[in-house]
Amino acid sequence: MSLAFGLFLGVFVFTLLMSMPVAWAMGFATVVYLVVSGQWAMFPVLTEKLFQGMDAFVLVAIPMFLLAGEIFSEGKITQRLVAFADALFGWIRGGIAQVAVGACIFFAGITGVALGEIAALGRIFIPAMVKEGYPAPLAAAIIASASIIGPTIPPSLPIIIYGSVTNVSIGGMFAAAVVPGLLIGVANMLLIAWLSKRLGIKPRRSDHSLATIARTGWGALLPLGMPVLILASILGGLMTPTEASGSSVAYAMVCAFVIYRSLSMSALPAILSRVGLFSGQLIIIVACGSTLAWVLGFENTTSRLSAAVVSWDLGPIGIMLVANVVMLILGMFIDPSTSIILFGPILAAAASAAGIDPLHFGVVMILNLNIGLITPPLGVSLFAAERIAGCGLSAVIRAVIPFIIVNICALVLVSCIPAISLWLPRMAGF
Amino acid sequence: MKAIDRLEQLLSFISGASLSVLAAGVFLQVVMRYVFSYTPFWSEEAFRVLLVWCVMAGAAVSVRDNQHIRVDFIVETLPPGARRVIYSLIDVATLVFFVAVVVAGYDAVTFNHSMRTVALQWPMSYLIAAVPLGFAAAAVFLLVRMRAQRQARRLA
Repeated sequence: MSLAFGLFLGVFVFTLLMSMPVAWAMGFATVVYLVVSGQWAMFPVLTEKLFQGMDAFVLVAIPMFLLAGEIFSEGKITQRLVAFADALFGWIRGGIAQVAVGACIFFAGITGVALGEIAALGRIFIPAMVKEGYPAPLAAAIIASASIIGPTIPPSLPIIIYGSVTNVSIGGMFAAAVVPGLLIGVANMLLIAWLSKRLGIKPRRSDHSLATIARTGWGALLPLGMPVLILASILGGLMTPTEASGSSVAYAMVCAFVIYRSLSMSALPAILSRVGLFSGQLIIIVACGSTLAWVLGFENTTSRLSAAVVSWDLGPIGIMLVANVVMLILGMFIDPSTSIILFGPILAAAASAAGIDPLHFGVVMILNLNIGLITPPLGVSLFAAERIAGCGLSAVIRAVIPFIIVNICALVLVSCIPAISLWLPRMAGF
Repeated sequence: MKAIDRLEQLLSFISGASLSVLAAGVFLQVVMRYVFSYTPFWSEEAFRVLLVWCVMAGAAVSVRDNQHIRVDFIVETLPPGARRVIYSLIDVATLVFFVAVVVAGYDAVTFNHSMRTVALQWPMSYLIAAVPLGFAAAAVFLLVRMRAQRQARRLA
């Protein structure tokens, strides 16, 4: 390892931990590398690499899905999903908390990010759960834990980023993530049923007659149909993921402006500028990640590292185990998209050399990194839910531990049984 | 201070406008393919260009209020004095990166002036220019924020 490369890695890790924005830490480390190795002539390529990192058609899907999700949640579509979740799940032991998880599952088909779930559902369900006797930290933990279904079930932004850095089919990954996402939901519901019995939460009267289910289901039909249409049109070969994302914006607009008339045109500029800002913050990391990948390419790191992992000869199960442990630890400290950009290509190459199906491995990685959203010290979903509950971070961290364990159990199942993820894409011919 | 607000407004407009054109364009591409059996050969290239503008504008504006994604749980545990020093050093390092991209961007743009994009035959330089321009705006926002922080410290 050359001095310049060692400095590059050291500067990147140090500035990252010293709270330099992830994107700039990647770029600054690249600048240090170029200066120390004296490659002044390469500087213009730095700018070009930043450009090429963003100049990808698949990445267009990120702002599009964000926009569709924002239009839906600003258009008060959330209440329709909540009403349907209430009719379907309100009678299960745990009552309102089960409804919260159910609503998170439904809303996951609209949003591709965990923060979208918490923004839309946290303010509704955390106070509601507290009113029904749940301690505030537990209420926050439940919403935080269920929010990771959002970036798992399609549309899913981490899957788009993963697909763009590894060339694994985004449509196939979308299909493969559906059942694992539902599994996370069921696992959380089971845990809540057990916890609420121990806490002595009183059973709640709820109207789950067939007529109510049918009525609320009809009301929620259009938002619930969106992920189905996205998946069907991609898997059926009618649209690329990016085209599906653009069409989902049109779909959301027709729902909110024309059919439900729940959003006025004057709300659009604010939504657009919010989504523009957030997309910029997300995709600039992908762009700066490509300068990082450029330096790693100079030093041949990706192929050397994945060759090293392959040479340990761990077999599929060993690779799966190592990758999961590495990702879980990484997920505690950095956000999913950064982890995917840094380690996605290396681990995906090692996994496919070991004979693991790329779709299966990709979904395991996404699920694993999403669990990182609720693990301390850096758990973005945890922070967001705590901010709504206002009960102190350490109490929420204590309350979320059983949820982390249950989610990891679901992750182990998905890792060990390829059929959970591969069943749906195989049906569709992937 | 007026000029800086105007710059922010302009960039927010660019990012929102490119988003709306993108959404309309991507949807229209699908409609055209199925209704008129015609897909413009240049549309994907145009969408990528719009995406780059949207991202650069959004990323630059986000510098002003320091909204970029970062890992701050270690620094948060430090005493306020040490934290302030680290934040200042990080800002300086960020500025170095921004300036490097802008200065190198000049060469990158002139190198690529004779290159043309495949479909639209636009000069590549126009497209790449979004990056140094965006980073220049980001540097301006960063400098303004650094100055505001210094003034706030002096008052306190």
